Amino acid sequence: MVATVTGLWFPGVKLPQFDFNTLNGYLALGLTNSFADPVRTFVIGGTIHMIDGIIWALIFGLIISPTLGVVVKPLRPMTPTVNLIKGLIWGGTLWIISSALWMPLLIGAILGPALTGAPPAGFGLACGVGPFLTCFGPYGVQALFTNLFWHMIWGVNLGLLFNPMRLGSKVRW
Amino acid sequence: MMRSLMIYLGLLILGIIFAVAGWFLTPGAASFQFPGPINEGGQSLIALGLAFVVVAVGLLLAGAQERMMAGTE
Repeated sequence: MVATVTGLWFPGVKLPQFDFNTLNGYLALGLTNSFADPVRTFVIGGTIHMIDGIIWALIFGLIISPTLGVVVKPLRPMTPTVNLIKGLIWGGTLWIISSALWMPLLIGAILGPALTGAPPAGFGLACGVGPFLTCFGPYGVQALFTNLFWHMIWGVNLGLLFNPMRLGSKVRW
Repeated sequence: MMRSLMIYLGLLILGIIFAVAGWFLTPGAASFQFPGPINEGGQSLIALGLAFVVVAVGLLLAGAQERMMAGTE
């Protein structure tokens, strides 16, 4: 939720806006319906995006975090710093998945023709969604790094909030 | 402890430098009008710099929580 809202604020720091709600809406409703009703697209896409975020966080809490603790010895202690590093690793993994697969294969397929198509039907841009998000419409590789920034916000929030403790711990907050 | 703190602060300062440099490299004012200002290098620096800042702040917060927990054990 924090990352999603922050993505909408990105233009305030001269970055491309990351509106994952609308992008998910495009996937769910198709471009024609989405352009006709942008509010519905945002709300439906936002709901899908929130559920996505919860599922990825559950996968982290139930599978990834404990597994990293077993497989990688330095990540065994359940301290806040180690938990944060695990969250950052998961955020980085999702950045790779998003940039390598979700953006070019799904968003590129649906939005690419509209971005590269000749006006007035399309925007007449040189690029739709490039491989590994090396371009996105009018933006170049800054889209990839902005996506990294977005996923680091998500990873930091996840890592700071998910702080499991061992049964023997005397700390009670 | 002190070395970790220096690394986190270094990351924070590096992030701020990147973000400020990127801000000046990107021409025009910040705008919510699509597509807004476009500069590949400048915006990449802003995004990377702010990512460093977010990670550094997270590490500083986690470190502070660790110290508080040590005090309550």
